[in-house]
Amino acid sequence: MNKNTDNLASTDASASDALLSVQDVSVHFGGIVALDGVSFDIPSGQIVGLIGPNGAGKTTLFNCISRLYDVNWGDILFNGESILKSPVHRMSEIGLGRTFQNLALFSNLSVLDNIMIGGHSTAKSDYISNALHLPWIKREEKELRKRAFEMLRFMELEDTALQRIGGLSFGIQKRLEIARALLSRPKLLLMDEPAGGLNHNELSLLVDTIRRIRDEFGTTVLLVEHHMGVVMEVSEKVVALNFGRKLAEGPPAEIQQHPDVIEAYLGTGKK
Amino acid sequence: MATDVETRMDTNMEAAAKIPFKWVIPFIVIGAILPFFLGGYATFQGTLIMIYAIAILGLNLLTGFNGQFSLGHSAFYAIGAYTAAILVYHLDWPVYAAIPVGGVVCFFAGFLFGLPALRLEGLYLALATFALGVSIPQVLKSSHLEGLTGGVQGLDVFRPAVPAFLKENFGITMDQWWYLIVFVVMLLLFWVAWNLINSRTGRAMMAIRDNPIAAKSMGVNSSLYKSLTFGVSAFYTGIAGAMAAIVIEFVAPDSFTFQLSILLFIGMVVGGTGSIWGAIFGGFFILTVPNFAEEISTGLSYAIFGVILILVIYVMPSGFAGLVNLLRVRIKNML
Ligand SMILES: Nc1ncnc2c1ncn2[C@@H]1O[C@H](COP(=O)(O)OP(=O)(O)OP(=O)(O)O)[C@@H](O)[C@H]1O
Ligand SMILES: [Mg+2]
Repeated sequence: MNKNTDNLASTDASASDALLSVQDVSVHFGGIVALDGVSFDIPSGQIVGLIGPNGAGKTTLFNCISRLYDVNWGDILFNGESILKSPVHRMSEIGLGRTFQNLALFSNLSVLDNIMIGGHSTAKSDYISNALHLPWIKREEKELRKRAFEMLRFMELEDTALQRIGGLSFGIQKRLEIARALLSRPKLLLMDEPAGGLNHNELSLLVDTIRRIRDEFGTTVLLVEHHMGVVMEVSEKVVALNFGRKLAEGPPAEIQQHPDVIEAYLGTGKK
Repeated sequence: MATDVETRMDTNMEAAAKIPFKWVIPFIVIGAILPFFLGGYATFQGTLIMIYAIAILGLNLLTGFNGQFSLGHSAFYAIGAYTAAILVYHLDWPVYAAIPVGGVVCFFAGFLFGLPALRLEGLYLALATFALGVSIPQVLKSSHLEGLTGGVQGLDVFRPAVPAFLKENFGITMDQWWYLIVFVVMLLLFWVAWNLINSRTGRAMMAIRDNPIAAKSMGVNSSLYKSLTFGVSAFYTGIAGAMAAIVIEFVAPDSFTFQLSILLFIGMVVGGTGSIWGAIFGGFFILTVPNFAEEISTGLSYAIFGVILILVIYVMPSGFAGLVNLLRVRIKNML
C-alpha cells in the first residue's frame, strides 16, 4: 500500500505512465520467428494478462524481459530505461521478478533456503564477511529469514519451511516459486503459467493470491496463462499473441470477443 | 502478542545455522589429545589424513556445493607445495609464513583458471581441469624451471625445531607439534567452510549448482561466485599442499600426478559429496585403503582397491556422511 504510491511516484519521471514498455521486439531462432515486432505497455499497478496458443512466443517474451534471451530488434524499457545492456542478475535488483513455466526451484535445498535465495538481491553480505561470519552478518541473515517466513505465511505455506523441495506436490512448488520471486520485492512480477497443473481449490486460491500480491505489495503483475477463467477474472488488460505477433490488446471482455483471438484459439491455423 | 506460530518460527530462525557443538566438541577434544596416545608413526599418518581432508574439503566446495567438476586439483596441491618449498628453500622464509602464502598463490591461480572455465559446462570443465592436472608434473620437471623447482630431484625443506618451552615443559615431539598445527588449521578451515555454506554466499553457490538459470534470475551473479569459489577451493587445496610439503620435508613432481586428483575426487565422493565433515573420512580412506590394498597383494593392489571402492559405494551410496545421517534418523525414529 505504501509501496504502491512509491511505485507511482517513481514512474512519473518517465515520459509515459508505463512501468514496462515493450517496443517493437523481435526474436529469431535460426529460421523460427518467435517474436515479430511486439509492442505494448504495462501501466504501473495493473494486472496484465498475456495469452496465446502454444508456441505463440509468451515464454520467449518473458525470457527477453528477464534478459535470459537477447532481442534481435526493438527495445524494452523498465521505469523508462532500457534494460537491454544489463546482465541477467541485475534484473532482480532493479525490481523485475519472475516465476518459471517449468518448475525451477533449487531441488536439493530446503524450502526456506529457496525462498531466501529469492531475496539474494535485497541483502549484500559478501564472500569474505560470510566466510568469517562477521557480526553484522547475523542481523542481515536474521532479517532475511524473518522475511522469508513472512512470505511463506503470506502464501500459507509456513508448514513446509524446513522441508526439502523434492517431496512437495506440484501445486505447492508452483506457489513456492511465487513466494521466492516476491522476496526480492519486485515492482513487476512476471508469472509464467502459475495455474498450470493446479487443482480446483488451488485455482481459486491463485486468483486471490494474485490480487493480494498487487494490493498488499503494490506489485505490478504480468501473467501468462492458458487458463482463460483465471486470466479474464484477474486481469485489467489482456495482450494476445499468436505466431510471435500481437493480435490484440484491451480489456478482458473485449479480447474475449475479438475475432482474431477467437480464430487463433479455434485453431484454423491462420497465416 | 507472540502467537504460537511466531515462537515456533523464532526457534527455527535460530536453529538453522548453528554449529552442532554437542557433537563437535567431543571430536575436537579427542582429536586434540590423540597424538599423546598414538605413536610417532600413527601421529604422522593422522597429520596426513587431516591434510588430505583439507584438500578434499576444497574440492567439495567447488564440486559438491557449487557443481563445478575438477579433475585437476593435484595441480593446486602442487602449486601450494612448491610455493611453500621454494620460499623456504631459496628465500629462507619461516615455514609458518610460507604456508598461507602457498594458499594465497593458489587462490589467484584458481580464480584465474576459473574465469575461462566459466564458459565450460560439466564434462568439458572436467576435461579442462584434467589437462591442468596432467600438465603440472611435466612443467615442474622442465629444464627452464629447474633452477627454481629442483627439476626431477625436487626440493628438500626442513622443519624448524619445536618451540623450546613446549619441548622442555611438555616433551612435545616434532610429529606431535605438526599434528597440532595441522589440526588447528583444519578446524579453522572447516569453520570457514561452515560459515560460507550457511550464508548468503553458500546459498548462492548451491543455487548455481541446482539451477543456474533460476539462480541468475534471482539476482545471483553466477560468474563472480563461480570464479571466487574456484579460487577458494584452490586456496584450501593449496594450504593442504603447502603443509604436506613442510610435514614431509620434501617436494618432487611425481608426488603430484593426475592420480592425486583422482584420489581427492574419490575421497570427496566416499566422504560425502556436499558434506563438510565427511572430508575427514575421505582423507582417512584415501590414505589408508591404498596402503591396505598394497599389503594384501602388491601385484593386485589396484584391483583390490577397486573392489573395496565398489563395495563402499554400494554400502554408502551418498558417502560416509550420508550413511551417518541415515543412521541418525533411524535411531531418532526408534527412540
Ligand atoms: N531457446 C530456443 N531455441 C529455439 N527455439 C525456441 C527457443 N525458445 C523458444 N523457441 C521457439 O519459439 C517459439 C515460441 O516459444 P515459446 O516457448 O515462447 O511459446 P509459448 O507461447 O510460451 O508457448 P507455451 O504456451 O507452449 O508455453 C516456439 O516455436 C519455440 O519452439
Ligand atoms: Mg511458455
